[in-house]
Amino acid sequence: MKHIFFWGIFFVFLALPILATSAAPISGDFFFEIGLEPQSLSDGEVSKVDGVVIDAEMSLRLSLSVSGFDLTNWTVFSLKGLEYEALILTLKSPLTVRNITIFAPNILEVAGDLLWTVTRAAPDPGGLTGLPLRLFIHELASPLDLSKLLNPVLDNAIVFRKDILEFELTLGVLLARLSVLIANVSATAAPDFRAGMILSVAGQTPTGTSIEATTYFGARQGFECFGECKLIERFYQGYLVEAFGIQQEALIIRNLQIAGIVNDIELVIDLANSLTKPVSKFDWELKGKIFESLGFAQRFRIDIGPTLGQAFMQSQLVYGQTQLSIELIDNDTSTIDFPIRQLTFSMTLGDIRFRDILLLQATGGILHAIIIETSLEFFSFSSQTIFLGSLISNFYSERIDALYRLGSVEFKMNVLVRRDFLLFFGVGLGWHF
Amino acid sequence: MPNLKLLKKFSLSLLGVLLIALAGCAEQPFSASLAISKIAIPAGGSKSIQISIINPPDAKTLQIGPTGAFTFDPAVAIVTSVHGLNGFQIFASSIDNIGGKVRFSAGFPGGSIRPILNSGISMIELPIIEITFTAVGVAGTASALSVTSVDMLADRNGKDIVLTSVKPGEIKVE
Repeated sequence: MKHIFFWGIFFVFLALPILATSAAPISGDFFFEIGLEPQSLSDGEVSKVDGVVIDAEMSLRLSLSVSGFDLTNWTVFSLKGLEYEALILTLKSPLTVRNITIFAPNILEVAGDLLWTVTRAAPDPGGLTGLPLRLFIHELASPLDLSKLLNPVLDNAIVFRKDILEFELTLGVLLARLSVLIANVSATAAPDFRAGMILSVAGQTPTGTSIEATTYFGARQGFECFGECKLIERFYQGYLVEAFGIQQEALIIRNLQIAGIVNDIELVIDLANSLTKPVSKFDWELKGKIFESLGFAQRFRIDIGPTLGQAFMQSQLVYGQTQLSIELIDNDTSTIDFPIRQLTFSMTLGDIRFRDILLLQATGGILHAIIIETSLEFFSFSSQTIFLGSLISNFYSERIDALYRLGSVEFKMNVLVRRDFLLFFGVGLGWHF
Repeated sequence: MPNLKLLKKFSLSLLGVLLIALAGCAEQPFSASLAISKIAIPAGGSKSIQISIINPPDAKTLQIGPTGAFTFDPAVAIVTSVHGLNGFQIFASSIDNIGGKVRFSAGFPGGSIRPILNSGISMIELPIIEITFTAVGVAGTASALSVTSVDMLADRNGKDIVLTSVKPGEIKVE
C-alpha cells in the first residue's frame, strides 16, 4: 500500500513539471540519481559476479512566483518513499519574510568547526554523535558511506523537524536580520522542541568595509541537516542547544584595507563557555601584492569544537593564473605542533585547471593528488588521481566526475576507482524547467 | 562549437595522468602503520589513549588477538574501556588487568577509513580505537604501550593491508 502511495505521489510530481511548461510562474528542477557500490555476497573480496548496494534518489524543486511572493517546495524520494520535504515561503517587500518548514525522519546537528563534529543525531543509528562528518563528506569518500550509516533511521516516519522564520530589513547601508528557529530533536514519536534566535546587523562604511555582528540565542554556529545530509538537506542557520541564553557572538569584518592589504576577519566569542573556551573561532585572512604581478594571501584560523580544537594556517602566492600555497593543519590543538602539511600548486591554462597537492603528516603519512578540471558551456569534467604512501608509486584512487548539458537537460556521471576495486559508480539525470 | 585545441590539450594531460597512475598500479601492496598516543595522567585519574592508522587505504577491519595483544603495565594504570572511533566499532574485546593485555576485534560496518582530502582539513593519520585508563601507580611511574602483533588488518574489499610498524605510546602518572 505504501509503495502504491509513493509511486502515485511520484508520478503526480513528475507530471507537475510538464504542466509547468504551460504555466509561466512555475519553475523547478528534477534530478534522478543512482549510486552503486559493489559488495561481496560472500563477505570476502568482490568477485566478477557479485552483489551491489544501490541508492536511488529523486529530488524535485518546484517554485511558484507571483508578484513578490515565492513558494518553493523541495522533495526528496528514495526507494523507500518520501524522505525529506522543505517548504520555503518568501514574501519580498521592504521587509523580506522567509519561512522554511522541514519534514524529515531524522535531524543531525553539526558544529561549525573544521571537522564538522556531529553534536546530536536524532535518532542516532549508533555512534554518530561526536563523529566528524568531514570523514564522510569529501572527495575520497564513497557518497554511500554516510547514507549507509544513516540508513537504519531513514525509514522512520516523516515528522516536523525544523522551522526557520527569517525577517530581513534594509535601511540605507544597514541590513538587519532576525532568524527564529524551532527544531524537533526527538528520537522517538513524541516531539521534543528546542527554540533559538539569531540576530544579525550588518553595514558598510564609505570605504567599502563591511561589518556584521551576529548574536546566537539558544543556537550556535554550525548547521542542521536531514535525511542523508546531502547539500539540499543542509541548513546553515546554526544548530539549536537546550539553553535559550546567549551562546555566541560573531563579529565579521570584510574588505578592511590597511596599508594596501585587504583584511577579512571573523571572530566568534563563546559566551556560554566564556571561562573554559572563550573563543569558538578566529579566522583572519590578509590579501595584498608584493609586486605588481605577484600577489599573496595569508590566512590563520582557529576553531574550538565541542571535543577538539583545530588550527589552520595558509600562505599563498599568486602569479597570474598560477598559485602556490602551503597549508599547516593542526587537528588537535591540545598540543600545538601542526603535524599536517599540505603543499598545493595550481595553474590555469585556458579553461583547464591543474592542481597538484602534496600532503605530508609528521608521523609518516604521505598523499599525492593530481587534479585536472575543465568547465565548458556544455561539458564539465574533473579527474582526481591519488597516490598514497609515496609520491608517484602506490596508486590509490581515481575519481572522474563528468557533466554534459543538452539544453535544459543534464547528464552526470561519477566514478571512484581504487587500485583493486570499484568503490562507487553513480549516474544522474537532471531537468531544469 | 567545441574548442579542438583545448580538447587536445586536455586529452594529452589526462593521458599523462593515466599513464602515471598505471605506473603506480604495478607497485607492491599498500602499507600502513599504527601509532599509539602518549598521555600524562594524574594519580587516580582517568584518561584515554588513541590508536591511529597512518596512510589508511580503506581500512575496514583491525583485530589484535588472540595471538597479538595491546600491552601495558597494570601496576601503573588499568584499562576501564575500549571504544571504536570515527566509524570503527568494537565487536568483541577482552581486558586483562592482571597480565596487562587488551585484545579486540574492530571494524567499520558499511564503510572504511581512508585519508581525508579537503580544503582546510586534510588528514592521513586517523584515530580508530580509544582505550581508557585509570592511573593506579604513584606519580612519576610510567608504562610503555605497545602491540605485540596485529592478527588482522584488512581493507573494505577483504584484502590484507601490509602493516610496516606500530609506533609505541606511553602513559605517565603525574
